[in-house]
Amino acid sequence: MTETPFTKIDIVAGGVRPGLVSEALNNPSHGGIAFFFGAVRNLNHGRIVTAVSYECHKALAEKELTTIIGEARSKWGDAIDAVVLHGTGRLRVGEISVAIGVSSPHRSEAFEGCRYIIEELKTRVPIWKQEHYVDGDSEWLKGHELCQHGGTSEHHSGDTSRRA
Amino acid sequence: MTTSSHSRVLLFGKLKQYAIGDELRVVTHPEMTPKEFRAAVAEELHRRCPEFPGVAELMSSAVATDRVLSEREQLGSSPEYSLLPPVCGG
Repeated sequence: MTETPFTKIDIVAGGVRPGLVSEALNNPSHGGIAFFFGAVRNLNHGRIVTAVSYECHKALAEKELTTIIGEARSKWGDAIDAVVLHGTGRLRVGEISVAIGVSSPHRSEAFEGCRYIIEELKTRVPIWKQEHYVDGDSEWLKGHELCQHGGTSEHHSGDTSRRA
Repeated sequence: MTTSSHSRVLLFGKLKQYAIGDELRVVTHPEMTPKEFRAAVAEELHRRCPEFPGVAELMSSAVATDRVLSEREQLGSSPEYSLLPPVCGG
């Protein structure tokens, strides 16, 4: 009998509690569990960041994350279990904005699946962030376009200095 | 016959500052393209905020119903539409 893989996706108010991810992944046939935690950083492009506000289109975000996890399973096996939690609202430096956990019978699939989900999340899931700076200024960060006509937006999310 | 209606438009990220709120209403019709939809939203944003830079500001934003529409599609009939600026989660 094929076991149905476990999926948990949650867009939460405030920061994410990392322990929820490990608590949700408890498949006794899985020997590899990989985690990614993204935290609010205190510096970006030379500006001192005090907080980041996250905004989300919840329904579309959950739908796209479901698709991404499905893609991960098609690449690394139907057996992988996956948990994705993303915070919204104003988060202070050090708070966890995103937590991803992937478990699999073996470590390689868990690592690969976890990496795939965070990279795809950053370019496909409708979530936006506004940085707040120590001087009182704030700025919505540029990101990846979802429309397909090839506009002119800069793709700053591909810049490693902006990665969580 | 084309049926026009006042549709609810949900805004996100930077676009909200121009609307002075989370949403607005524009006249749409099912045959409208995303490009025409952006033009209608731009007109309403400019009415609300004279500093709004114009439709070019919306060119990188995707139009969505319960999914992101391609640029070749028509809006169809939906109770609401979303305008999604470039994303940067994580």
